[in-house]
Amino acid sequence: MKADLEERMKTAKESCRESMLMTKPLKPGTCRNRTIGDCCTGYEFQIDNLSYRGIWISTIEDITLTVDGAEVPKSHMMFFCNGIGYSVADMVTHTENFWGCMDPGILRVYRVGGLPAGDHEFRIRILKRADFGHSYGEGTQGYEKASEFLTPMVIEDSCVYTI
Amino acid sequence: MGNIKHSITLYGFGMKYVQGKCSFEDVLRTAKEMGGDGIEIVAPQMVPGHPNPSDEWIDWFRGRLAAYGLDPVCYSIYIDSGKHKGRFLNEDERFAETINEMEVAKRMGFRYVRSQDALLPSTMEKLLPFVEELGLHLAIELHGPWSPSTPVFREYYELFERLHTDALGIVPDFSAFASGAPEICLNCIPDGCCHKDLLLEINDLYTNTEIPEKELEEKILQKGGDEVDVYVCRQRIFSIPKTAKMGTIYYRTSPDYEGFRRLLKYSKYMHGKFYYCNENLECKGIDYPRFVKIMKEEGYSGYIASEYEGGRFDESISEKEQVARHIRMLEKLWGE
Repeated sequence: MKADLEERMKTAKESCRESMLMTKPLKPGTCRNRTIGDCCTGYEFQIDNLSYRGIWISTIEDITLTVDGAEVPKSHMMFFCNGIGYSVADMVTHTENFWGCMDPGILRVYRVGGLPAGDHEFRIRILKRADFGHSYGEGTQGYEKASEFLTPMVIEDSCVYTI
Repeated sequence: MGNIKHSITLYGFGMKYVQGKCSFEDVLRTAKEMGGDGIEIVAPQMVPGHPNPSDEWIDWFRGRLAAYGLDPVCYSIYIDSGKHKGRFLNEDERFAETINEMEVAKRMGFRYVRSQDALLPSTMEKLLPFVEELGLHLAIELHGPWSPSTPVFREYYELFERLHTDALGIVPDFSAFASGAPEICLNCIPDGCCHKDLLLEINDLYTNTEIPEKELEEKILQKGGDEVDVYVCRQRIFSIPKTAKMGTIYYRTSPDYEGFRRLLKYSKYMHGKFYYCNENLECKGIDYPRFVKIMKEEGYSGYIASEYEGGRFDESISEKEQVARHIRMLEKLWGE
């Protein structure tokens, strides 16, 4: 064992991290400024699917995005999937939209002028409930103690996008 | 092949599909290359427009299956109880949404529909007329950590006994009968991070004895391991909770063989879950030899899907080779 204990423990924790994700949320190479004619009202990028299967967008409870160290206000973000856009705070109420594995999920950020050319550091933190679980039997509908639906999991990712 | 029928679950190729490294057409082609007697699809993973795919896509799907000569056997659906924040799916929703998905399965040509234990036995009973009308077999997956003695699975069994129907049943998944972690359980840990040889010894003890986890941890420290090894062991080797929910006690060295035998009467399809099949055609951590023996004794003539889930331990291993080995292992055991 060459590395010290603290370093080895850090490696062990990173290696053992269990995840249902088969991809990382921030899809590489997808960030671009959005222009309408000569106008630029912001930028967007793709979020890759958040499970080994498709998910209901209503299971996404919160998205926190930090770009170059500054948190993006939720009022300035919209999520688009299957041709419909939702403010981040409103995603939980939309139980009609199933985000399939191959359906692009686009997070649009409103910012006049978009991002300047160059590299930008993105960090994302998503709170997501489970779509399904195996709790059964407690109470009349069988779910009264189903902790997997009551405690959302935290999904984090970071990357550098180049404009 | 023998009296069991082999199903290829497209889920086994799900990682590359979800990562965009292969198309659905590639998945079908691979399934064809694997041989087997039929296929299973995980609906929310590979059916575009799920849970309401278009007629056009269904026509395309049926055409591609016909072109490849693939037989659609099992359509896997879920009970997405987490869909609504602040409440769970109620019985009315579970009932109606299951009928909708069974209709899709029928339109796609599938014969069996696999759902989950969140579909209560009472709801399943109410669904029976629809299952029969559609000519399907609706089955609940028995997945770890549950076992045949988990109360809800006893209730399902009682339901099937009372109704005398083979339209309803169970899909046993071998995760419910595991004895320990697979031999590749440490592959994703970089060399030099922990004492792998020592931990693999501990894994053997975990799988083959009932030594309590605490004593195994002490053994790690006695044999020169340290807290990193204990951490890795807890995360990667201690994979089976002793006390699963609802009071089910689970003994690693004696998975519920008799419960498995009892459920075979109501099983037409099962998930041959495995995490690694070695060159000697062994899946350490799951007692396939004894379970296949029970299947033979009971005259099981249904399907078994070789369901590979080792990608979470080592992405570099070929899932195609693993599925092929697993099928060879089952054939070998069946022939003994």
